[in-house]
Amino acid sequence: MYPPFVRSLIGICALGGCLFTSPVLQAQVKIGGKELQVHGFLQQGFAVSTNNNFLSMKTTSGSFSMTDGGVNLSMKVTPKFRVGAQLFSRNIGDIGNGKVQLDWAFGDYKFNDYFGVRVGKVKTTLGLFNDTQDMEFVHTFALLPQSVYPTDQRATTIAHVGGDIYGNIPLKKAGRLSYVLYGGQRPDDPRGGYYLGTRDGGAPISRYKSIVIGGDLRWITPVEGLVAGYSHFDIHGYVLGGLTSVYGQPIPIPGGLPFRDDVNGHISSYYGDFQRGKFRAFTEFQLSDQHNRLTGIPYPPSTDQRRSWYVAGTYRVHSKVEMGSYYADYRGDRRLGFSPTNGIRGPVVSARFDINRFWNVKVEEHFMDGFADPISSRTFYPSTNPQGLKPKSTVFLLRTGFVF
Amino acid sequence: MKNLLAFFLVGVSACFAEVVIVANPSVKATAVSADELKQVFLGSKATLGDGSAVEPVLAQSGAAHEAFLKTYVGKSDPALRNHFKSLVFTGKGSMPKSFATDAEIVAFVAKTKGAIGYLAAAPSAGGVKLLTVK
Repeated sequence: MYPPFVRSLIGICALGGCLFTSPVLQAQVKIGGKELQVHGFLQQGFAVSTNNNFLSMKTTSGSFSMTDGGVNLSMKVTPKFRVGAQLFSRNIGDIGNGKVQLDWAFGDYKFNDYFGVRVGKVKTTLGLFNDTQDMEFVHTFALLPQSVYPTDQRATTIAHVGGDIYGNIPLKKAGRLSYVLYGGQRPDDPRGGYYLGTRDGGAPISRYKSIVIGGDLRWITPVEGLVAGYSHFDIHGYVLGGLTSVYGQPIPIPGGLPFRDDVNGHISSYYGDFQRGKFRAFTEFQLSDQHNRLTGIPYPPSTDQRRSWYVAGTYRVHSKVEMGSYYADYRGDRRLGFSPTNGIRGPVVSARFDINRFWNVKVEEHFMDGFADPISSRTFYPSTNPQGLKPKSTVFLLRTGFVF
Repeated sequence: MKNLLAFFLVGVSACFAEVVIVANPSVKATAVSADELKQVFLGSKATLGDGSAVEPVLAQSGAAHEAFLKTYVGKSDPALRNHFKSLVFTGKGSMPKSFATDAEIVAFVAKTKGAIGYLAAAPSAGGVKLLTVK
């Protein structure tokens, strides 16, 4: 039996699918003479792995604990002003727990093609796919490269409560520039991988409050299908938590020894994307620095310096079949060489089958070398790998998505 | 004379991409550039060079649809649908209207201010204007 949120999503998607995949009915949904668009998606995955349990699921024995979905409403109030909102829920192993959350909700006023403003809770533009990482149905792959888009770390960058300014600047024969500048408060997600990882590491956190500012500049080049860009993401805030154990020895204080971690960090992302006909190739290179200053516990200031990249290619071999592959590399400390405890890397091969315009099925195999720092809140968790982590593992994924 | 002009305009459009571009009469422009068409049909541009607000209308399938996407948009039908799904599910755009037949496109364009679409052949019914591609 599915949990209640999944049954609700299935119900919403079934109703929405019946109502809104019909062009006739679609045209009749109006409020005050304005068309109300309703769209939704539901995705279900199955994962089975060798050696290590993946993304907090018990994948070594096969797991269906990979469900997510969302539904949104939007309306063009005037030709320049749109409003909308989306609810989203996910249940991936111990992450998400089916909690329904407001994914985005904002008003968007586009003064002209050069300048527009969005205010509310807005999906953050970072790299090629940060804002679309939940939507497997727009991607060839069942999972985007986890080096740059770690599913369990989604909440770190997914949205901000504040605003965007955005627009397009024509460059005549040199193509055009598309820009987004943003700022706001980063929503906290106690059901995300970061919280889970700190619990596993003996320093569970109770709050992560932060503001983010940043921007994205992409050049749509005059070469047909070629885009290049740069994103910058700055984060400033603090984490509250309690240290419950040191080197495996419990600290006999209820809630642990309280600490505060002042966090200042940034992510720089460089990317390129080339699409021509049935072929697409894209790549991203990301550097992430985070400075931590702890108070309450004797721990010196530290700086995390991570590096992530991937290179990917896809080809549509048939109107209903697309094949793809990527190689992804994550390095927990880029000052050091690769080792199983300092990174995760390896190739992925994938096939996507479009059953119809609303339904797709994907099969995918991940070949992973390394597991990174076990308390890095990324991909592999000690609580679901009590037997210890092995240096190599593979994951087979079967994922299907319905969208209307 | 009017029919002769229409014939000439259709001829120009047809020679370029084997599709005819049509718009609601509220659109002031009589011609659009290929780059403007691309940006309008990718949702990144909502006005033409003369200031006319426009709204793209898609065909659901067919030879004219494929030819239009290949010639002007540079994306396959699945890629274009994924592009608009990306906009819709991030809240950064709306799903354009799409229709199964040219007659439905003509009917919608004729009654919708700013609408711009494409057809396999010049429409027999009135209410829409033809645009040439510069």
